[in-house]
Amino acid sequence: MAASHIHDALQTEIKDHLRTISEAHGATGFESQIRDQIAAAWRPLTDEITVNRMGNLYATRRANRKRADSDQENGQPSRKIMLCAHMDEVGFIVRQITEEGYLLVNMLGYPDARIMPGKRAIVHGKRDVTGIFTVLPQFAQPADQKDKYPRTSNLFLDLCMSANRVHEAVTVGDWITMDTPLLELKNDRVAGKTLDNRACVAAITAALKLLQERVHGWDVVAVASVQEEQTLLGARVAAYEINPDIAIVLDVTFAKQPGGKPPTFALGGGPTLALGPNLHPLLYDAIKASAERVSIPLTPEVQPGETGTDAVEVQIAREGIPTALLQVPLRNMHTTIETVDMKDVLQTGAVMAEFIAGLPTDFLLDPDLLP
Amino acid sequence: MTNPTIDTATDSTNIPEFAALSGSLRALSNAVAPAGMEAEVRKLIMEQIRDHVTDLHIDSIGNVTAIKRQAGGESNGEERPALMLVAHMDEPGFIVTEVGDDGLISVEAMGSFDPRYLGAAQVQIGKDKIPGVFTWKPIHHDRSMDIRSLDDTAIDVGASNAGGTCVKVGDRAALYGEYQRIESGDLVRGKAFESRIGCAILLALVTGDDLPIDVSVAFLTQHTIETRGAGIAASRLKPTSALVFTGVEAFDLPRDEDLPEHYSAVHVGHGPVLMVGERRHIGNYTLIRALEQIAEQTDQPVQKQFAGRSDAALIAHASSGVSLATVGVPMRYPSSANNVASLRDIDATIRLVRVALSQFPLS
Repeated sequence: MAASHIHDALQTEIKDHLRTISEAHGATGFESQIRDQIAAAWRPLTDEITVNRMGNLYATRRANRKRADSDQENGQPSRKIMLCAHMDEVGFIVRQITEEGYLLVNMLGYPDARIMPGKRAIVHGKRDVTGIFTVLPQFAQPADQKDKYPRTSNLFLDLCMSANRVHEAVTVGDWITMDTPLLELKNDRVAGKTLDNRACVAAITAALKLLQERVHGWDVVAVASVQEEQTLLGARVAAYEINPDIAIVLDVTFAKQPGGKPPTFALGGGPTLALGPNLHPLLYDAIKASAERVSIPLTPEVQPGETGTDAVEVQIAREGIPTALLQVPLRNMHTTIETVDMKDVLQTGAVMAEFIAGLPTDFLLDPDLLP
Repeated sequence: MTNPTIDTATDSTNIPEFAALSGSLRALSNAVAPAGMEAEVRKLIMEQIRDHVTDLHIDSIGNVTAIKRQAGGESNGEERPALMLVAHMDEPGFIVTEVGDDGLISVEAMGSFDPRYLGAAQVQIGKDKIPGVFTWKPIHHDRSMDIRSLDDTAIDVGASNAGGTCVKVGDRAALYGEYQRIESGDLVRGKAFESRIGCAILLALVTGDDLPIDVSVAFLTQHTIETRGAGIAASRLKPTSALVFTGVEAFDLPRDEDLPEHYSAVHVGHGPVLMVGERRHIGNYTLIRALEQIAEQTDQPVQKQFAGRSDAALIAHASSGVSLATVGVPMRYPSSANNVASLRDIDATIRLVRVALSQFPLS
């Protein structure tokens, strides 16, 4: 399947889906709302959906290739590939309610507090309440804070209501996410919150849609994992429970932008495929070959150590799981204006669909091939 | 966003109080008018006041001036009314200095921003309101807390080359914001309140009930560029006194005990602000005392402030001098697209001025 097979219609569908899941809310540790949205999208594309006790979403699409008679006689189950994208987002949590009704907050995951002044956020308390982040004016800042961006501890969240009304709706410990509609830019690009990692959830959705038209001999388990941004709990638990034969983890990487620290990757240049000790070299080669066969651009991304993604946990779960890491280039990471190119999202889905459709039953059974 | 027109229907639903005022402010707030690109706001204003004024005029810098005659339309014999009412139209924004080969757009600020509110901001560029975002070097690459310059960022509209931006050098940009009434109360949020609250006040005075005296009105441009429109309008209208309307920055956050007392605080919801003075202008004491007395008589709380920079200075210095006072409406977060103000404060200001006009000349 060449890149040209990614029809405009599919790109529009996936963009609308990405808008829905980008604007939905699910801070790290509080993922139920976003899980519901993703489940609604994956249910029609898969055979079975379950939710694990820690909150991971598992959606299984069973192999649809007619199996060799010998396999059926031996009762061999289909081998399994796990596609894993974290569904949680960075956010805040209510630490204290001041006498006047302002909220002081702590972080959930690592949002970039420096950009928060003037931005809207939603507190998910007894009901959702919208507020605006602010900081002390310059004249009220102590000397060492003047001309500095705020830390999370310097932020106030203004709910624009009296303290009494705040207490009716909000409690210490309520979770907070940003209120940002997805902005459409030129050139199929979109900017908004939480494209880290909803862009990759959308890439999995694209892969599942493309697989509707393909024959594959492996079971595909799509996983939307919890808590990547703080603890990597979801990935570890998913790898244990699913126990796949191989796994592809999806996350975002750094796109080229002013001041970016190399290596960075062009928006619209396709996904990157990570290579280094956290990734299985033969799986890397196979995915690369598969993409080349259908002319999907795939850029190698060197990762000298732990990759800071779900792949950190998946590779060493149980007795070890061969893991690959596909990443979508993204500008302005951990802000409310994260920017991706929809073509990259679609290409990422296409790489996965192509690779899965081409997986032979005996893939990676021979460890002697390891370099 | 389509070109906004004044529409009370949207604001009437469920929240009838101040619906008309809110509808007016909504259209003004959502309109885009950085310095040198005020047409959208100017058109809204002209549309509204056209049938209520005479001598409607747009001067070479874009100011809108007009004369509103008192009830019955009879002039009190003078060519030019003694009192001028003033607001400004333009909002702080940006001007494009360069369109890069990589499709990224460099700008400089027009007007002053607290830079802590500009990080990762959403903007709209030019008459077509092309959406864009200020790129932000991710925290993974740079954790420094030092304020970043606009030189180190650029506006990304999604283009990958200069031609694809549809933007040219000299185009103006503003922050992107959407007006919203907050819950079911008096508060509203939106962008450009500093200018548009003043415009809303003037529109309400000019298009509402008849006024007891002749006044001239001026909707100024280039407030954000050292208030350059102000003196020109005053030269044309030649008032002897004036009232200037504007949003003024409030300080509602918890106040540290160590904060020196002379940093007075203006609060949203506590009524109109009588600007006792500012850097280049001292408010006319008679006017201010008179307004204060009227407020007392009408049981209207007011606040006082000595700070800021309104159009007052250049008006006061025009021709033989103009005695004037600036009346502000408190608002939060002027450097963001989410300003907060109270419709009740705006309404109170309009009422206060109407009473004052009936007692003009104030002494």
